[in-house]
Amino acid sequence: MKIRVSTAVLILCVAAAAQAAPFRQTMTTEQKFSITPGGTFVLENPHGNIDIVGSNVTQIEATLTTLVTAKSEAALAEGRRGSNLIIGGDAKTRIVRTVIARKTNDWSVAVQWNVRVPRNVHVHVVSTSSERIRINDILGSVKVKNFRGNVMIGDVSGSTVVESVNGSIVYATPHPGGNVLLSTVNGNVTATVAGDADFRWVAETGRGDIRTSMQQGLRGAFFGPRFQGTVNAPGGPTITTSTLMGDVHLLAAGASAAKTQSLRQLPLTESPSSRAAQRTNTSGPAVLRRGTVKGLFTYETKMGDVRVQEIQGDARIFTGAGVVQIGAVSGACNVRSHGGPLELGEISGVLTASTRAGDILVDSTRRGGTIATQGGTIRLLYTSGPTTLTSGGGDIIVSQAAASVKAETTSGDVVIGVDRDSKSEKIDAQTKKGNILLHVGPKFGADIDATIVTTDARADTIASELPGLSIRREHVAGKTVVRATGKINGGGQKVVLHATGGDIRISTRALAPTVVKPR
Amino acid sequence: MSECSAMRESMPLLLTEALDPVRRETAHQHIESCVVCSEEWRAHKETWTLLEELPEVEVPARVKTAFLEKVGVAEPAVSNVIPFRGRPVFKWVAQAAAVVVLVGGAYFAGDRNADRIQPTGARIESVTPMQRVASGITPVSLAETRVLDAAALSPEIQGRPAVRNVTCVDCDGSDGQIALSFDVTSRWTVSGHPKDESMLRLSSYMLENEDVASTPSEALDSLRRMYSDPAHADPQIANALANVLRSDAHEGVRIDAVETLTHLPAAVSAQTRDALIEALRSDPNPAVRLKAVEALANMVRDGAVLEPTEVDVLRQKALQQDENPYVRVKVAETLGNMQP
Repeated sequence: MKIRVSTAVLILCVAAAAQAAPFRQTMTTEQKFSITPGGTFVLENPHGNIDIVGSNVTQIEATLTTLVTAKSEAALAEGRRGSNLIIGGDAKTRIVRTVIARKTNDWSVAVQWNVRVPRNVHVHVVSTSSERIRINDILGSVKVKNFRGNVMIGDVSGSTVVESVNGSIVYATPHPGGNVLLSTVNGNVTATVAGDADFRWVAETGRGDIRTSMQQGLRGAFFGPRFQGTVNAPGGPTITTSTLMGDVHLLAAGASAAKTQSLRQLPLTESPSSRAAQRTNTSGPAVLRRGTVKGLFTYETKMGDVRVQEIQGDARIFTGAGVVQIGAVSGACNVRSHGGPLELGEISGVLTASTRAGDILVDSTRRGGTIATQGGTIRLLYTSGPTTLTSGGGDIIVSQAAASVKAETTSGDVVIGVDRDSKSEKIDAQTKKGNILLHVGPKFGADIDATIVTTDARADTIASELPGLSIRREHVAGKTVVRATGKINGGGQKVVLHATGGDIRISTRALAPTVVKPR
Repeated sequence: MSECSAMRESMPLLLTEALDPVRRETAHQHIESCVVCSEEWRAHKETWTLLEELPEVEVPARVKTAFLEKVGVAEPAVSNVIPFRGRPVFKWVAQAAAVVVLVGGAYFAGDRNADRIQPTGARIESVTPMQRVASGITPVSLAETRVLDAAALSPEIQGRPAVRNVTCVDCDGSDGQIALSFDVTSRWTVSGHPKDESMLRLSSYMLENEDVASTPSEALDSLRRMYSDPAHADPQIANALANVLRSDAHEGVRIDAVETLTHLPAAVSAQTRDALIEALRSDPNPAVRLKAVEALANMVRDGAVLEPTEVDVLRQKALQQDENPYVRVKVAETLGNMQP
């Protein structure tokens, strides 16, 4: 019985697979294009693999294999009609272009090129997606631009430029005759040269590592995340290898890849500015996750997210780029980021949090601290210690302050809710473009000094639900300065509010709760 | 406090503009600086406005007479008028007879004098949809200046709109025409569906011209939130936000604009791609650039295909060494999720 059921299922699966199987058609053609010695061959092929080899020929000899995949017979016919070959330029610059009509979901076309070119030509390839682009044995220069797919360059004597986005680059030429630039965003870069080759080497990676097996003849230093140096004798061409998310490898031909060493671990000559950078240049995981950490927690990464549930002690965290998310810190908390949002929970000690770009959300800081972003919104739900908040652009919202607050933003609103039980707190709020809203309890006492600078005195106003303020207006350089001073509820701590191009409101209503997206 | 009491007493006179200029100025200064009196004055004005809006009811004659008698200003009786005493039954019969005579006479006269039209087969040639006009009012547009013929202005003035800067453009009247020019402040409440053309245009204008429109940020936030809802999202709003992103001098405003664009459905915000790319390429504030990438990533996730030149900008941004590293990472992630 079991066998019969299994057979039925198998038959059904095969039938379903047959039904879903796309219609395919492969067509192969051969083409020849004239080109002068030292000419340039330009190939634009949006989809499909490309193999170009230099050989003893006098013209370009190409074999094109067109693969049309479609959902139906009709779509297959449409796909066949949808791809064309356009030959342009002249014998000095031969331009060959595969043109694919606007693709639909019903069919797709990929054209695979196998090309033999005279060795002394220059090759220029533009591609969007492929599994690979391979170019070998060229005496002239090579230029490749692609979006997806690996690029392999071998034995190219002339200058080489490869720009990719989502592919890896492999370059192998014993003695490069010209400058080499290999750059990608989401891939690795590997360059293999002869062990005795002389050249300048520039290498950079954001998230990955830079490794080499040519450490013997290597001299150089890090300048920030970028390494610059020479291999063997000074002079020679420059090989630039850069990727943002992948690794960079420089290998000596014939040497084992296992013998490579990270440049971070080599005793290199350092530039003074690079020392600090190198200390933090440890390549950590893309995301560091921890549950509860007991004692001091120190972590530095040049690129990566940090997510820790709880730190029972002090925390010192730095990321060059990434999200920092900490549930709770029982001690002092120092979080720095060169870019990325910060999301911090209950901070019992003094908090120092800064990012060069991104929003900051803090649940509470018991002993106050300093919170700064060069651009982004700051939300602090509760503070019971003196707190300074600075934003280079964006709103600052302090929902409940039971201590003094100093808030300053280049542009954006400043909203501060003083603890309803507080009789008085020192507040200093400034915005260079925006409104200031101060929510206090009905018995809050303060010496108020509120100023707005505006070009529209009718639109921007100062309003207080607590009496005691007297208002003056002055006109200075085409602007109206409205200033309200006085004591509310008999006076108290100094409250200085300064808004440009906005309103100032002092309200006795409770501040609406801040809605925070679930983490 | 005694000053406040005196002020409150003089408020009715202030309302009716019966105070002399010096006292009027003093009163206004006091109201401006005193929260309690300011509140009182606002209440007075509201009441006054309400009174203005109430319909004027004719006082019944006998109430009026009784009142005047009570205060000793009784109207003199006219000696040659004999009061008519109505007789109810006769009155009803007379009224019924009058109605019968009027209706019968009208039918007879109309039937004899009417043109005779031969019946034809009626046919509707075309139908023009009637333009929706709220409450029978001709649509008006918000305008910086407006020139009106007096005939187009109702003689009725509702409430007490503040009229300022009055100038007599042509007041000699020799040609039988005069012209007055003035600024008037009046409160408008416009209601309609969020996707009504008028509501969209009005909201776009407010989002786009924050300085001119003097819209409080809470109101703008509410508008942005409402139009972030996929049910109400509209390309017109997206374009208004894109213009803010391109041109507003304040990074906080640009951040708000791009943040809203991030949450709009990709189909709606597709037209704003140029603005996002431009912001990513050259906005001086890293947070704006970061949010521009997030908005682009959102579009890509929803299946948008970027042009090769736009991909190039992203690629250059990812490899730009002096760019904020987190912006670069976000760009790389966006590129990684992209279908060529």
